[in-house]
Amino acid sequence: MSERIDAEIKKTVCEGAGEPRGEVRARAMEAMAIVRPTRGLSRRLVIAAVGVAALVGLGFVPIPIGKAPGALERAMAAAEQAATVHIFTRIWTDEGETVRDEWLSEQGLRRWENWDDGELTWLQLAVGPWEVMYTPGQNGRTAAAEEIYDPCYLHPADMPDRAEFEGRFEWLRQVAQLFGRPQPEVQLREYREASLWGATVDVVEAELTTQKDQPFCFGGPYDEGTQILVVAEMDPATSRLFSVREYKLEGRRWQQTYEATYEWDVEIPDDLRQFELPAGTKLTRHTWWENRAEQALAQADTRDWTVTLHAIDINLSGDVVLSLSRVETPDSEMPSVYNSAPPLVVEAVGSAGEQYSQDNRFGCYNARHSGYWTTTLKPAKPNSYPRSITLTIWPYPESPSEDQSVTFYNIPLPPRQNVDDLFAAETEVIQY
Amino acid sequence: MAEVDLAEAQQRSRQEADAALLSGLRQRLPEACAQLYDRFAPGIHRFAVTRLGDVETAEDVVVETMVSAVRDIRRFNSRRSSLAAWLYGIARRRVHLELRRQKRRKSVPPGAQVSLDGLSEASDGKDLAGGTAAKLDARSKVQELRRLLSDKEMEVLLFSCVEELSAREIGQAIGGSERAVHSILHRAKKKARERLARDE
Repeated sequence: MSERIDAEIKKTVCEGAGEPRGEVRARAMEAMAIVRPTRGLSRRLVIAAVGVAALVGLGFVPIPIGKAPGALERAMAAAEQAATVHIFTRIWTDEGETVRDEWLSEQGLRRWENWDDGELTWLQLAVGPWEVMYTPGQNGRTAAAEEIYDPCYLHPADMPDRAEFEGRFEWLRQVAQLFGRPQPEVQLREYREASLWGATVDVVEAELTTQKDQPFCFGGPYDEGTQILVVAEMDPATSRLFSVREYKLEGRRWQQTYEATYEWDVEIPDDLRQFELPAGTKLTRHTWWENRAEQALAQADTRDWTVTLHAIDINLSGDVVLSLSRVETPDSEMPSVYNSAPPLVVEAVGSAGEQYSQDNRFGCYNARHSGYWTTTLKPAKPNSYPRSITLTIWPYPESPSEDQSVTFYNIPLPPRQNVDDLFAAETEVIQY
Repeated sequence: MAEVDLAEAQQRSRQEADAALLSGLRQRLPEACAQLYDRFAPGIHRFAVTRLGDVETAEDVVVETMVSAVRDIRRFNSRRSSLAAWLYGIARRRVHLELRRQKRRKSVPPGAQVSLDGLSEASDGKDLAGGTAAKLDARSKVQELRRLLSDKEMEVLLFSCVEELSAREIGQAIGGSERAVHSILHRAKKKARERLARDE
């Protein structure tokens, strides 16, 4: 049955496609005779190849046709308008080839796969607030996966794409900011080029030497003092970036170390939203926030934040665990706090004057416009059983100020649970 | 047992042929370039036409793949992939680049770019009217498969059923594991079987 289908598909495709025309063979032979095999890409060869190819009119070698000032900045701006991006990356090192296939979508999808020499080594898939991270079994280790409910993605402004889109271009953004300034260590070029068959592309090149504190560009890591060339290509019509390549200089040749191609606003195939864990995988599910994010025991606004107390849990020893969040108010004028926000500061007093100290241990899901935290309050006297608690919370900044704090008075306390580790009690392990 | 021996013998013979071809390409022998073209251009052309639906662009992909292969032949590592997988990997990247260009141009769907004239030209004028009709019928089926299958499913199906690459080679060409290839191929064949069954 299978062989019959194979044969039928082969027949159908062969009938439909036909053979390349005879003149294609002549064209290919002519082109192959001219091109020179090379291990890397020598600068001298590039210049020679462009000249020769332009003379013979092959049509697939680009020809510089002018400058393209501001191309990179336009590409950065265009990237911010996109709703989806598919980035396919290859990185070459002495150890082998790594492939990364990455999809980001404003509709709340992020999928990231790493492949080493044809083997999947890492998968991360986030659909809405749920995120799965999977590591295949290797060298005797069991395949493992973690499933986490990340409440930040309940807020449209914190969907994975926006901050992450920008994160993928951070290095290019730094390059863009260098344009127009004297930079002896970095040579920058922006130009437009065209092939003889009409395609036009804006090219940005950055040539630099790696420093001790910056051994990475897109590829790498490199030894200190390695000369690097980054070439970014953009579509002049849409300003969108469609490829980035990186080379390191070895002797007198440019050796390619990195290549990424970009597809913008493409439809995301349905099967990318799913991943079936293979048999043998040990899955650990963290459901803490799934059970608490939609609850609200108390809520109030500071100047810039809406602070919510989602839940209170008490363990066997009387430690009080607060589940809190802060979300920027619509008219907030806060600068971005992504990746730099300190934890919330809490002062607590029990109904009979019991004192609590905030434990430094906290769990955090932090995004640009929201943050979800658990923080533990240790009672000064473990044997006290207050009926309620009053909480004063500073969401941000850390130093107390009147217009950036809220106080929730006399919040009833639940009974103690019969476990010491409340978080472990809400972690589920499934063996596939 | 005899079948296994035959497969092994074929693989050995192909590896020996690849080694000889590689040696010739590294020495820049014209006959090696000709051999490279004759062995692989028809398959790459089939793959590109089927993916792009445009004969002329597919021919450009063939030429570009050949040129890239000759230029980068020293990068080829026979321990990492077969020659066929490496070449189809190059062709696949060219095809993806062209598909992106097509999307940017927002032109008519790729399938609609093929005219009767184009089909006749593509066959060096050997096509009679009946042959052209058969081609159009086949092309229409392929277009429908393209609509039914995801890009990756279509590629894996072509590499497996048409170009007869092994799952390992397909994985090398598309950057995936053998297991993933088997899984994609299973899905693709299921969809293809349902589509082809409608014509019976």
